[in-house]
Amino acid sequence: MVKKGSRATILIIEDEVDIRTFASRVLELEGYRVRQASDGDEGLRLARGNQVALVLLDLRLPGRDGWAVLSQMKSDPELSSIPVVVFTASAGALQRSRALAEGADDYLVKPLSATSLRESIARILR
Amino acid sequence: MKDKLKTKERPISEPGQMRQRIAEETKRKQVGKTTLKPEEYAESIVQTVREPLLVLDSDLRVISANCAFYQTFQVTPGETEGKVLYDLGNRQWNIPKLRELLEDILPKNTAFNDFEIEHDFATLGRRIMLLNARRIYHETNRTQMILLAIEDITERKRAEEKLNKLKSNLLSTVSHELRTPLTTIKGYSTMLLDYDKRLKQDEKQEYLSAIDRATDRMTELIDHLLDMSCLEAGLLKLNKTPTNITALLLTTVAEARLRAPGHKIVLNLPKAVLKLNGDGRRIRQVVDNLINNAIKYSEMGSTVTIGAQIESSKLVASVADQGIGITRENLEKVFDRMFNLEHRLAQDPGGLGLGLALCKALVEAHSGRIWVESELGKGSIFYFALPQEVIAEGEAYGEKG
Repeated sequence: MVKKGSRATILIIEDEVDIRTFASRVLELEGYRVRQASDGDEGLRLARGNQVALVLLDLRLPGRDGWAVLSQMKSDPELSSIPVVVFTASAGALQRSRALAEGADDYLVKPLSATSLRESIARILR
Repeated sequence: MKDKLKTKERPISEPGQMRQRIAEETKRKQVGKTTLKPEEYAESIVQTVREPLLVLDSDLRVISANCAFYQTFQVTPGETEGKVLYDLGNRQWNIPKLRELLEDILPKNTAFNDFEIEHDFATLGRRIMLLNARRIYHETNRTQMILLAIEDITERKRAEEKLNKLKSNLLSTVSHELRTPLTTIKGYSTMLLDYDKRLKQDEKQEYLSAIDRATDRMTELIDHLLDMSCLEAGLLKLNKTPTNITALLLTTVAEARLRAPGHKIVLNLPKAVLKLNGDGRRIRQVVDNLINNAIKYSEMGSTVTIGAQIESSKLVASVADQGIGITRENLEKVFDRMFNLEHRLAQDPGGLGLGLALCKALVEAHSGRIWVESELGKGSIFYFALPQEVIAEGEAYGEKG
């Protein structure tokens, strides 16, 4: 069973180094363990066997994009139960409903404050 | 008083009456002047119109067609005149929507305007046409005729669709590209506010520098957009003055080294001072853009080489990188704004793809030329050549911008 709450592991899949650093620092300061990936393939690799409690996923990624990562995770029995929070610069309502329909637990639009990020994660891992 | 008004200066109340009067006047004048019969006069108008026109009788048989009709639909008068419209060219005009317009709508009205129909033509393929028709009463023959104008708007429609797609692409790209640095600014600043006491001093410095870089990136994006729209509106004015290119390159490279400490940036200059008459700020912008691209598309630790020299009274500058390179078929296209918007790859490390289009416009505004040589996986060399205008002896050179 994956440990919830503090010390739970969160995997951040994001290619922009500053945004990845921001998200990981905030979550570390909130007491989570953080793993980081800068593309979809690395993200999927880290999602396995690391007791990941939640994935924070950018959609626009080099190579395998966030949509592909999401559908791969949701169709894989080992990964399908891991909550996914989409974190994207695409603000469209259509994209949001598509992401939620494809199994995302939340859809966060960039830019985002530290508070909004930690609240979304805390709500899902409660 | 009233009667007088009625008989002598009867106002024209209906647009129809007005139109008829004008038509009669015109006909009388024109026919009088050129001694054309009314039929010939009408025929000459029909033939002059650039869009395909058909004159049909009340049974929808073709009385005549104009040149534009024969050209557009690749048919001859022999296979057209006297035939029922629907039987023309393998019955390619037997279109349900057209039948409805001619057989239901037109008999109840005197005209129909701007009906759009899409149809697969045997000879032309899928076309979108705009149809306009009028019922005319032929007084001498005492018969009804139909004037049918068929405008092929396929190309226009396609161009419009493409433009709309580009516009919405541009909008979503701009929005995405602005949100990325904004995320850094919002994220780091709220983090600095929320966790101030728990962050070390050097960590705070790091986040503040990232915020600073993000604001520069946003400024650059906005500048590119503004410059591009000025260029398109023809509002870009060069401020040409004698400019010391050697000094300009030295400062530009020194600043690039500060921006990209991970790259080795080399500057090769001839001993003699390079100078020309140009807009220093704009030339600087071109060099900056090329250097930034070279950095963006090559690995950390690789070398970017900037060179400049005089070749047959032209200043030729180059920026070479050891980056990913450009495929042969894209060598010309990288300077095309539309291309960059359409072919943005997920791998693109950011930007609107406007930089090179802007460089090209700025170089060309100086009557210069820009081009690129590249080998995939090995790197690219961007060149630009500016004519070295003769400058009067003794004129002072100062670095501009």
